[in-house]
Amino acid sequence: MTAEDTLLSDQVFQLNTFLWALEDVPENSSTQPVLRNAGYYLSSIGRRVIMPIDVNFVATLQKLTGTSDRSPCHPDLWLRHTSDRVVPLIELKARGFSPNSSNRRQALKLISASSNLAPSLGESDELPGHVLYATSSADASGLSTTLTDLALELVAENVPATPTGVISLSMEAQGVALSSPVPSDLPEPAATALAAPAIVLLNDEENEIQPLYFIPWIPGIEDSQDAELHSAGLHELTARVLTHALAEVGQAQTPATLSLDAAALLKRATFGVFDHWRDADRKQFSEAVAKIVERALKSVVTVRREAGIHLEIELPTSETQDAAIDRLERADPADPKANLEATIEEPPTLFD
Amino acid sequence: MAADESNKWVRQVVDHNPWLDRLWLSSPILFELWQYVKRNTPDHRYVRLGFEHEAWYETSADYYDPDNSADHEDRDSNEDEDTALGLIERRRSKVALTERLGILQEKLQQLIELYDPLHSLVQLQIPSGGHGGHVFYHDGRSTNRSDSFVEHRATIELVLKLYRSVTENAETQLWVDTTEAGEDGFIIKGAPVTIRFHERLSEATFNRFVDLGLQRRTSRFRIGGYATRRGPTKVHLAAIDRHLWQPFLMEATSKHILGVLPSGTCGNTVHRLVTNVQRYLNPNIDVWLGDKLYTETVADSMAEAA
Repeated sequence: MTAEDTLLSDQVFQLNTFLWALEDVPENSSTQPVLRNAGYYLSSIGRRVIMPIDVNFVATLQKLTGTSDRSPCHPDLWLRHTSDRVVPLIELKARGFSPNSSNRRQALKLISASSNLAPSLGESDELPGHVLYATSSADASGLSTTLTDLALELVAENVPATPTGVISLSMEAQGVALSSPVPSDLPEPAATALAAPAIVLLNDEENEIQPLYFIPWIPGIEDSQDAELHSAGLHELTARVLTHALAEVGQAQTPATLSLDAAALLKRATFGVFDHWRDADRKQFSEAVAKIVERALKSVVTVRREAGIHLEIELPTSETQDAAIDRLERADPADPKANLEATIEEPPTLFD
Repeated sequence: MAADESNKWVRQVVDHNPWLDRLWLSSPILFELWQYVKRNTPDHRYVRLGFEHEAWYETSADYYDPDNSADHEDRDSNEDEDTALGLIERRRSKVALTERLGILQEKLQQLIELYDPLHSLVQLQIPSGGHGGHVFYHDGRSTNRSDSFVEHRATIELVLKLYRSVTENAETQLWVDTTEAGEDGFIIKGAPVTIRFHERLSEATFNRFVDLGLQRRTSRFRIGGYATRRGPTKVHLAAIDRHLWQPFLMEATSKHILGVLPSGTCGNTVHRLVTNVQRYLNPNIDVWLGDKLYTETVADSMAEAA
């Protein structure tokens, strides 16, 4: 796989590319809001689609997936349109998949439950959804066929199937583009906007294409993420957390005992996205962040770590404050032995 | 209190206090005040404008002459605040114009188009109703050169009202945050601030800006943080405003600077960044808050304030 394919398959890159495609930016920028220009805006990230409760749906689910599990789906992005009532639900995929893969159950549930999204939104009027999977262009055509096949299986069982389509991410001469192997499969405004590859991230030839990431890290995708990009995400997250630790120390009015909560640092460093991580990830990362800050500071100031994630830092004078700032600024978030990448893997010690 | 004394006192109180900052009257704000002057002052009155740009991050490589390589000795690249200016030759423009309003109305735009450092307006004297006027500087200083303290106070109140309005509007447009969207969902809202250079920076200037302007404690931009290189002319920075100690994200390239400000970041950071970019990096820029021109936000704010 080429470096380009690896990047286009990366779900963190995909998510941020879509966010930039929906962002408020000036014309002729290095990022082009092609979906926003088509009238779309972000309605939600990760909101539930609840499953129908009728008997036929449950029986079909049992027949087609081997289980009657009605747990909700969480498509990555819910979009809305300024005039079109159809709600696109976008699921980001590192790879395409076949109708019999491990993604089968999730895809069938999403395709069958999204034909009317009103129950998921607590509304009474019918609200049509449209299931879109996004993946790299190499896998887009195959995935399109898979989704069509899965929808036909549902129709054969007399269960309504939501329209499906695929948005592909490709590297064009001008940059990273969104398009579709079958544009007519997309909701009408998107079909028009993505009829030809629509450049979202402009290539400036000499530099890497990655934009500034709103979300540099998604927990739980380690198995499908490239190891180098996985490390880069943890590097970036470490850097952002350290700037928030710096902010706390820099704003302190000495003499002070600074009380720092690692979970709060992570929340601020992720624009609040951290609150939506799974409990286990939140605990693991909070403890790792507390250790990183403690280790950066303990040689110059007194630091107490309590309950794994809570830090008390003594800043008796402006000199100790300056020393603490200096130590934090010297920390190297790219160091895989000292950043979140290493720290989250550490087994707990007697004193944790 | 004499100006020298009060300036010193303000420096001591503000420069090392993360809870206080100056008013950063960026060029677009001062130019909007200039529009106010044009609308409300008779043509025969004198107006004073001061412009300043020093190409602080230009290097000798920007003027490299292959036929005269002796001119291309490496210099100590550590200076940002410390090195004596006399040792370094670089573009430095300091222009003061005191002229009748009618003439400035006619000629100023042409002058700006001819000589780009004039995009960086750092001082404006607003004529008073009587003699003299009220001088405002880019860093928030103000001097009463009129014969009325009460009028000076009223003029300051107008400027404060404008500044408060433009700062609040900028914060409303820019702050990035998540909000709950129900049923496990959330939304990221907010927008970036974009500063686009009319003329691309050379690679040497860009590197010097990244090295000295964005990563040194002595940075004139008072920005620090952790940089990730994305190529010869592109850097991503988990940045921190080293005056207010507020974090934000920045992308710097040879064509633009892009900032993403978390909710709660003071809008002053934007005005200071715009001011410093025009004074030290590139005077001819366009600035957007999201997809709206900063100048439009300033004009809208003036309409609210005046």
